[in-house]
Amino acid sequence: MKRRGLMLSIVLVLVLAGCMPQGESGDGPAQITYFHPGLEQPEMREMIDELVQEFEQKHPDIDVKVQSVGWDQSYQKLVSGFNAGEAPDVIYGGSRWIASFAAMQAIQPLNAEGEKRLALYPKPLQKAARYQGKAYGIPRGFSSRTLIYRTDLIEEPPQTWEELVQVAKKVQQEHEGIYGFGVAGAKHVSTTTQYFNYLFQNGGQVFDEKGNVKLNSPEAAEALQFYADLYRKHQVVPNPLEYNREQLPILFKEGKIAMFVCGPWARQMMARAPDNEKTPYKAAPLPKGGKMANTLVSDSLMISAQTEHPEAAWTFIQYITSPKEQTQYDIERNTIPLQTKEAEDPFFQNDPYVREFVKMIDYGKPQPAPKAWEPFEEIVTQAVQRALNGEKAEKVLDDAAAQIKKQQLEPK
Amino acid sequence: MLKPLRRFTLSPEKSPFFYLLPVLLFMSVMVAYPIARVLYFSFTQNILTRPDLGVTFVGLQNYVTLFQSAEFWATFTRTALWTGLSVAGKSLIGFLLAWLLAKEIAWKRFYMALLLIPWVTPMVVAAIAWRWVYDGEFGMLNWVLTELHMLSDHYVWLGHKLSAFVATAVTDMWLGIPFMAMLFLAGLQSIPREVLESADIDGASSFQRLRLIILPLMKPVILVATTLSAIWTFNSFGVIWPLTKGGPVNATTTLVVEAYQRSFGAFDIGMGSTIAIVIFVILMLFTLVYYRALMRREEL
Repeated sequence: MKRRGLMLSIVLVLVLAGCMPQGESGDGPAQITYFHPGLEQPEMREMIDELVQEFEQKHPDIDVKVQSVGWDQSYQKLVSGFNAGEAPDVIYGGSRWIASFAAMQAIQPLNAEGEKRLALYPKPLQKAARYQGKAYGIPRGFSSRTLIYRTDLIEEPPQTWEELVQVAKKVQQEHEGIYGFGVAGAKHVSTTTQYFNYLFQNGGQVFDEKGNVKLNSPEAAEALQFYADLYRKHQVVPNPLEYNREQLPILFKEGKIAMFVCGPWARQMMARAPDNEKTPYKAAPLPKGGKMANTLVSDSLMISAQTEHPEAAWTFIQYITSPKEQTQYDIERNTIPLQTKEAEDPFFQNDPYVREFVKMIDYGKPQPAPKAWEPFEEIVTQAVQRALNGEKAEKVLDDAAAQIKKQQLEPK
Repeated sequence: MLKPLRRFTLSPEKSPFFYLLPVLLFMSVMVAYPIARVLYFSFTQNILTRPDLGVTFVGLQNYVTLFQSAEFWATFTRTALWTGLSVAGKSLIGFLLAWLLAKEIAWKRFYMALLLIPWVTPMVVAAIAWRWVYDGEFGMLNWVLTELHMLSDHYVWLGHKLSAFVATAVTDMWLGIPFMAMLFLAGLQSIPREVLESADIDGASSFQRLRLIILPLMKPVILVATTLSAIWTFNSFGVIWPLTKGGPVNATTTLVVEAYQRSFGAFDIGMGSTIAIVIFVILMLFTLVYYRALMRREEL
């Protein structure tokens, strides 16, 4: 009996010791967590891990833990985290989230140094990182859109909407088993930007300067009708309801579509020259409607309002967005230059693929900034899907605009 | 040695309460508290991502709004149809399989093992696998059908309203069939052999045997199995979400998908909770039916 009691107490002591917090004393390194969505792709994971390691070597007093879930679940994970008091310290996320996160007081405004750093970026990006005049984020990823097309099937990329349909039809006539073009219509953020390209090109607006919803204007309806007609009338795209934009590069790589519109990361998802003998491609400016335009989407780094180490969080952001690191990051990821100065780097001028994306920046329109993004996305996607299902564009956009008003999503 | 304590003797009537106390405590923390909280949320207007709209107690306003919206009734009907389709499929196919397996056939154990595969497959894994079966460009279903010349061109199963509705129900059936088949098999095996033999002697055809003997004797089992299956199917989220996210448009948006979208897409906790409570009440009714069916079975 005695021996068993002794054993028990030993086990108990061990268990209790295991429960004790460790290394919480003031002189250990400050622990911060960095949330970066979409690291399930190994190349991305590796790159971020390397970046963090470099940072930790230079700042031994800060310990960075990387957290990630897929882009699809990120918003949800973050909002739940804020409410549970378990938000990561540094957050990489869509700039479209800044408005609601800031309104929730889940992220904190940047300090004076932050304001200074933000000045290095183009004006539209600065605007996207602000909420009620205060800076809440440092832009990190940024993308314009181009048309990617098969060079072996298409000699001259289409330059207008009419040409787009013609070229696509011609490809389909000449080649069996391939669609001329591909667009997205699944329930996914990309369906909104895919449609907004045409809306902006047709002179439409989502919200006007005062923040009133303008989604049901004739221009917007005409654009949506064209978008839906690609599938319904012209039949030059595979059923869009099944695909989001991220699946288009895969369809392209497999030789199922001859053209699609995407951001620069498409190259990582397709094979690169010279490994793409079967599906050689080039990037070209978008076919234009009334005018040339495309949706600019940016991601930003933010600091949680709950963080215990705001200085360490800022030091991390400052390090990874320093002009040198940012240029390196953009070259490695094949994205387009983010900071105004960066564009001077020869890489962005010489690479024929990236160059096209850089050109499209000048025609960029920022993503609309509703009060909360996700319900807005749901409403717009619903409208696009209804149009693709054969309903009148005017009707579905009227409904969408009414919903946006009803849920008070207008950025007034 | 310790002296036995006399002060804490309890009457046999009262003592069970103390034995049950730990479980009761556990249940109240893990089950009753969350339900109460959701009930409370359903009386509030509370959108997590919209602090500008404020958090207010609105009483039954959410329920009024919900019951007045045509969209809710459309979703409700859709859920009922989807559940009906799936449960009917599961019961019919499940019964057929059980009937075949109840016979003396070769390789019986092997077939039983095969039958269990859908049961042990995690729901989401199964749904993602089926997503590829249905895929318009690379899908296996299209390949098989075009090879058999039953389909001239690829069909995008999850891209059309009706086909997506049926396809998600079929996936749900696939997952639910083993359970039904097992229950039915147990039911079939509990039918007294003498009854069947005497029916044979009386010259009953196998259809007569099925209609006049097997089905009436199986009625309690069938009732229990279908009710239980209806409860699970009504709440089936893990199949629909990975396959279609409730799309195209809203062709596969059932109540539970709607509740999820409201609560975790728009973070409209008030409205999301309201729908959750409605689902809760409906399922309570199902449970009541189930309970009755079970009681009646025990009487037999």
